[in-house]
Amino acid sequence: MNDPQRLGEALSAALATGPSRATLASQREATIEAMRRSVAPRRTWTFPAFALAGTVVAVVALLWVRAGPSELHASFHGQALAEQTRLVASSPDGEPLDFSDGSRIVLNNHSEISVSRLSRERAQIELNRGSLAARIKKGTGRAWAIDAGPYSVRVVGTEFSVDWDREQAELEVRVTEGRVLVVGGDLPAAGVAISAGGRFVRHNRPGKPAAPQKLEGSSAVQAGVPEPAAEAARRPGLSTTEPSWRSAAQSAQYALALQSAERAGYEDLLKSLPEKDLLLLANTARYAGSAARARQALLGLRSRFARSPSAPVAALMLAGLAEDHAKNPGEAATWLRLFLKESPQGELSAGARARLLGILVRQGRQSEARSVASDYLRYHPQGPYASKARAVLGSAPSP
Amino acid sequence: MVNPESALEGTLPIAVASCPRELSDLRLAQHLSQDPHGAAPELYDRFASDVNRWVWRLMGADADHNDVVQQVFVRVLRTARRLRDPERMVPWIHSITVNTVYGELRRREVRRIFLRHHDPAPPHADFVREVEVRDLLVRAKRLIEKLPTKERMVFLLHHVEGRTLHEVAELCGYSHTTAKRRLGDAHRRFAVLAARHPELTRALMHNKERADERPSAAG
Repeated sequence: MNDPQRLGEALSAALATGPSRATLASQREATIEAMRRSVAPRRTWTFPAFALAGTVVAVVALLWVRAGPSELHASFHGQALAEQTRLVASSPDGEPLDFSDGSRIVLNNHSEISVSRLSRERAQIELNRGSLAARIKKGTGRAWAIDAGPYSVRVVGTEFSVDWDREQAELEVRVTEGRVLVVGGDLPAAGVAISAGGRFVRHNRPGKPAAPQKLEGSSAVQAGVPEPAAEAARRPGLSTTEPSWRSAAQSAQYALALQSAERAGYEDLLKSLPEKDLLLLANTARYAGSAARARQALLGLRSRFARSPSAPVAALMLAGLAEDHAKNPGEAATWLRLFLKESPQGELSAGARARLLGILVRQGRQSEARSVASDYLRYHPQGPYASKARAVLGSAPSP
Repeated sequence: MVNPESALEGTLPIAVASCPRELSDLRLAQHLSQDPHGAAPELYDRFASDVNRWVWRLMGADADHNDVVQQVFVRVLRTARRLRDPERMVPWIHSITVNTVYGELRRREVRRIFLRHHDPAPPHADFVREVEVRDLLVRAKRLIEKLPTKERMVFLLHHVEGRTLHEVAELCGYSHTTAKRRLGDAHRRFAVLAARHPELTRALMHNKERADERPSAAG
């Protein structure tokens, strides 16, 4: 077996089969609409003058459509913002964020957002905490999404507000004009549509921290344009510095990132970093080969953000550290059990159950293995390890 | 590589050798030719799973995944009347998917030439699975993106999507010899790149081995 083939297989295993149900649900509506627009019947003009005018309009429209939406830029207090910039509002009157297409988002006091993506086709804002009011320009052809924890509010052109209480894992969306679709979390696969005048409140139920991917995904912070600290500090609301350890981590220089974090005071970072950065720090330490530092960060994350969706993810990673680095399968099993208790049906639960099952079988803990095998078949009857679970239970595999 | 536009003109390219000949596809093809507007939901529901899977894997859980999927379906609907043999609907859609992905990757390649600074886009927010897997994917994508687009497509179709060289040739509109040559070029280039990042290759292998171990551990 040659290297490209092995790498291809490894990549294939990493990619699995496709996007989540929530993404597919929101994709369906937009795609069918785009398909229908592409084959919409054209009107036939009776008079030559109208025909000529129609042709001119059609050509202009065609050129416009082919050109697609224009580039999108964001500015904060008149200063251009790069993607992946984080903003924290510090004015009681709110902080406006203006976009080149005429859209505007007003960030309420103490609220925090990350400008995740600004492109011709898409704008993506992550509401880390607090609330915002948005007025999105219609007819630009650009898809907007406001992500809040495991939820995502999908917008075309409308006016609405989003309030995300991270500690309580509570989302509130109010729509003033137009219509939005809320997807993700523990919502139905098709999402929930909210029309003008509507209000939507959702608690992320304990024991079902749905869709941890939103938090994990956003933890992969990308490098933005770094700005001088002094300049940032002069502007209200803008988070002041981009820690150098994070920049190094973003460019996959994990050993360097860990050194920078040590210089900045690793213990202090553990106490002060927000949830997502703490997860990034844990990964940085793991990739740099420091299992002890990674473990510290993960334990810190679980201690400080016990109710967040990142907490069960941290438990899963702690299981990996215990099994792969500390060679302590007993501890790994404990973390896996904790993860499964906190996330019994999450997207990562099938793999965690299979892992736990493997450990218990290897340790000869037959009765516990049978119990986990039974759970596996209950939650994942079509899972890839279903036949193995049946074998553990001693029943004949299905044909 | 087939030009994305020309692939849709005249005789449609033949793709995967074996395809299911389902009556539902025949009915859908008829519906498409008679009323493309009304057939849009049926077309999407029938092929969303296939198209999503192909785009996801060929583009590596790309942040623009939904946009590319949308492009595929719009293109399918616009050219549905040109489908002469409804029984070839499945390979025809696969072929359009491959050509759309190729077109997108080619556009990015051209854009990179003109942009001094280029940061690869983060993966799609849905790509979670495990945190370390996500990071591995980002790093592997950076490596594969260094391959020229034509070689990259052949490499991905063959090694990630598991298509035979014969199927790859048909999907891309190449002769078998050209497909083989492109794959050989991709291998040579890849070997040089992989040698510069031994830790990535090791990490990917470790991840795969761990995934492979799970069933045997349970059994």
